[in-house]
Amino acid sequence: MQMATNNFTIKQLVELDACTRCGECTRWCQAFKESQDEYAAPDMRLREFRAMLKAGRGLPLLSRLFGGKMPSDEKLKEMAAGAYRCTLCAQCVAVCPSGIDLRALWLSLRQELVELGLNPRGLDLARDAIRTRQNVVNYPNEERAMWVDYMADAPLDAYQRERADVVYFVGCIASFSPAVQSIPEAFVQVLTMAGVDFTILGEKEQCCGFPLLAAGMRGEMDAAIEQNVAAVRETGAGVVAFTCPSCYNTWVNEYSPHLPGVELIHSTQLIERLLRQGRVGLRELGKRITYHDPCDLGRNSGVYEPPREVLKRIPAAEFVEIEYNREKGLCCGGGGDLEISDPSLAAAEATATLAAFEETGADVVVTACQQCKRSLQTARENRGSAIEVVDIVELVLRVARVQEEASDRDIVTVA
Amino acid sequence: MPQHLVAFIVLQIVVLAVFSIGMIGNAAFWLGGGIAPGRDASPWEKLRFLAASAARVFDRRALVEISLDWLLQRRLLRLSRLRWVMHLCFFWGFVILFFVGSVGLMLAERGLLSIAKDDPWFAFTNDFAGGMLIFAVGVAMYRRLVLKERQLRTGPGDIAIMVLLAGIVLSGYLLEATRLISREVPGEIGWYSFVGYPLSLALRRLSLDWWAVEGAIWWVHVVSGMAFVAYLPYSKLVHLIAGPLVIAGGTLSHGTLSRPDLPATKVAGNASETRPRRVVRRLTVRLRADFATVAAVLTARQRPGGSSIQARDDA
Repeated sequence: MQMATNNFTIKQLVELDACTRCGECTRWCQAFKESQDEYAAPDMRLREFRAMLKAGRGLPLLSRLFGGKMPSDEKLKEMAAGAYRCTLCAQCVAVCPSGIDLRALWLSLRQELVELGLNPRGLDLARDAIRTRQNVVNYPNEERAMWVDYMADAPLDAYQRERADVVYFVGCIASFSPAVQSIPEAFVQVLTMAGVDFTILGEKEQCCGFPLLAAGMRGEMDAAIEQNVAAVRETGAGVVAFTCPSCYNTWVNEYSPHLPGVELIHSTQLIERLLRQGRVGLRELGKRITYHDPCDLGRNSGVYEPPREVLKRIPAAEFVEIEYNREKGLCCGGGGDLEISDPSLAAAEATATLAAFEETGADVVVTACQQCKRSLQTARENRGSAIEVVDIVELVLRVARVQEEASDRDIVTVA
Repeated sequence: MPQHLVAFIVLQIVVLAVFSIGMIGNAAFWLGGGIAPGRDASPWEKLRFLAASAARVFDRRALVEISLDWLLQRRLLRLSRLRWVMHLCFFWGFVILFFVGSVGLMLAERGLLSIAKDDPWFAFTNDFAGGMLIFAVGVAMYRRLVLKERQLRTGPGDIAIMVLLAGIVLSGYLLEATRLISREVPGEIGWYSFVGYPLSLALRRLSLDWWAVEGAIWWVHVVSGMAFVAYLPYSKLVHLIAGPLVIAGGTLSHGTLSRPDLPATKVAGNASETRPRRVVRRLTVRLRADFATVAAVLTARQRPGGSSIQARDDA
C-alpha cells in the first residue's frame, strides 16, 4: 500500500519536516490521555505518517535515508484507527511551538486514509445517510423541522418564511436529537422576543457537510453546499445564524466564497449583539455559572468573548472561569466524528471534562454547542453529577424578558 | 597548498554535496504537495503560488510577526520559560557560532572581512555562544535522560544531535585553549576567551607538542561541524529550515500564527480580537484586494481586445 502526497499541500508537507518532536501536542492531547493509544498521540501520528509519505519516493535506500518507512498492513490499520481517535479539537494546534496547523494535517491525512479504504465503517454509513437522506442521523429529511411541532406557542408558519433578514441554520443534531432540540426551540424564542425577522429552512436544509469533512470525505460536500447556498439565496437573507459551532465553522471555511456579502454569525455573537442593542433584557439568575468553550467555536473559529459577554450581563449570576479556558479549553469528546468511530473514547473524554468543570464549584456549566451539551449531559447522568449542563441560548431564554421599546430595530443594518 | 588544506576543501565539497542532495530531496518532497487540499496543481501553478507567497514576506507587519515567532520564539515562551530559554540558546548559539565563528572567520581568511581570532569581541562572542549551546544541550539532556518527560521520545537521532552539538562546542573550547598555548597569547588578550583561556592555563602544565595537539583538535572540531551540516537534511534538524518556512507561510496566510484563518469580511465581528490584530487583519484584507486588482489589471493588459470581464461578457 502506497500513500500519495496529492491530498496534502506544499505547506503541509513542509510542516511534516518542521516538527521539532517536542511532544507538546501529545502532552495536551485528551484523546491520547484517555485512550493511551500510541497512534492517537499527535506527535507519533505525524512521525509515522511522515515516514509513510516519504516511503517509496525514489530508490528504497534513498527514501529510507530521508526517514521513509512503510509499515506492515496490520500496523497501518492500527495507525489509521489512531488517526480517527481524535476529536479535531485543535488543542495540538494551539500549543505547537512551531505553528504547525495539525488539524488541517489530520483532515488531509483522513482524506488519504479514505482513499486507501482505511476509514472506520461507521463513517461510510454516515456518508451514505447524508447522500440519501441529506442528514447525518439517517432520518427522513422532511422531519427536519419537526421539533417546531412540539413547541407550545409555535406560529402557524412554523418559522418557515419565504423571505427573511436572517436564516437560522439549525443543523442535523439539534434538528433530530430530542436531547438537544430544546436548543433550537430556545433560540427561535429569543429571536422572536428580540423582534428579529428570521426563518428556518425546514426540509430545504441539508447536512452542512461537517461530518464528511471531518471523515476525510471533503469531495462529497459539493452537493450539500450547492443546495444550502441556494436555499439561503431564495430567502434573500443577509445573515445566516447558527447554534452549532461545527456548522458555523464549516460555513465560514467552505461556504463563504459562495455567499459574498452574507454575514455568518454564531448564536453567541448574535445574542451578544441583541443584548448590546437592548433588544432583549435579562432577569436575575442567582447561580454560579461557568463556560465551556466548544472547540469549533473557540480554537477553530476564534470566538471566545461574545459568549462570556452574554453570561457576564446576566444579573446576579456569578461567573467563574475554569482553569482550562479559551485556547486551553477542554474538549467534550463529541467532535471530529469520534462519537461515530470510537464512542467509548468520546464518553471518557466527556467524563474527564465534566469532572474538571465540577471542580470550579459552579452550579451550571454553560456551553454553546448542541454536541457539547449532549456529551456533557450524558457524562453528567453517568456520573450522577449535580452540575447542570445547558446551552447558552437555553440559559438566555430562561432569564430573558421582552424589551418593548427596542423591538423595531433592524438586526441586519445595525452593526 | 598544504595537505591539510586540500583535505579540508575536499571534505567541504563532500559535505556540501551531501547537504545539497538532502535538501533537494526534501524540497522535491515538499513540492509534491498541492496548493489546496485534495486538488492537484501544475508546476506552473505551484511556482506562481510560491512567488506570490514570497512577495508577501516583504510586508512590514508580516515581518514583525515572523520575527516574533521565529527569531524570538514567542510561541514557546507562552508554554514554558525554561524551554524558551533553552531553545533560544540553541537557536542563537548555533546562529552566532555558524555565522560569526565559522562563516565570518572563513571570509576573514580570504580577506573579505577584518576579523582576528584575538579580537576581544570575537573571542568573547564565540565563547559566549558556545556557552549558550552547552547550556541548551545540558537542559535538553536533563529533560530527556533525568526527568524523562513523558512526551519526549528520545531516539538515537536525538542523542546523535546532542553529542554532535556538544562535540562542536567542547572541541571549540579545547581548540581555543590549545591555540592560546601554542601561540603564547598573553593573558590580557587571552582572557576575553573566558572559557578557552582558563582551560589553557590548566592545560599548559602538560608538556605536549601543542602545535600538533591543536592540529588534531582542529580536525575533531571541523569534522563534528561538517557532520552536523551533512546530517541536517536527513534528521529532525531539518526543522531549522522547514520551521521558518512554516512560520512565514502561516503568518502570511493568517495575518498571525496564533489564530486560524477566517475570511474576516464575511463573518461576524469578534469581540475577542484585539485592536492591533484587527488592524493587521484589515490591512491584510486590503492588501490582498489591492494585489488582486493589480493582478487583474496586468492580466487585462496582456490580453488583446480588452479586459477579462469584457472577454467573459463577449463569450
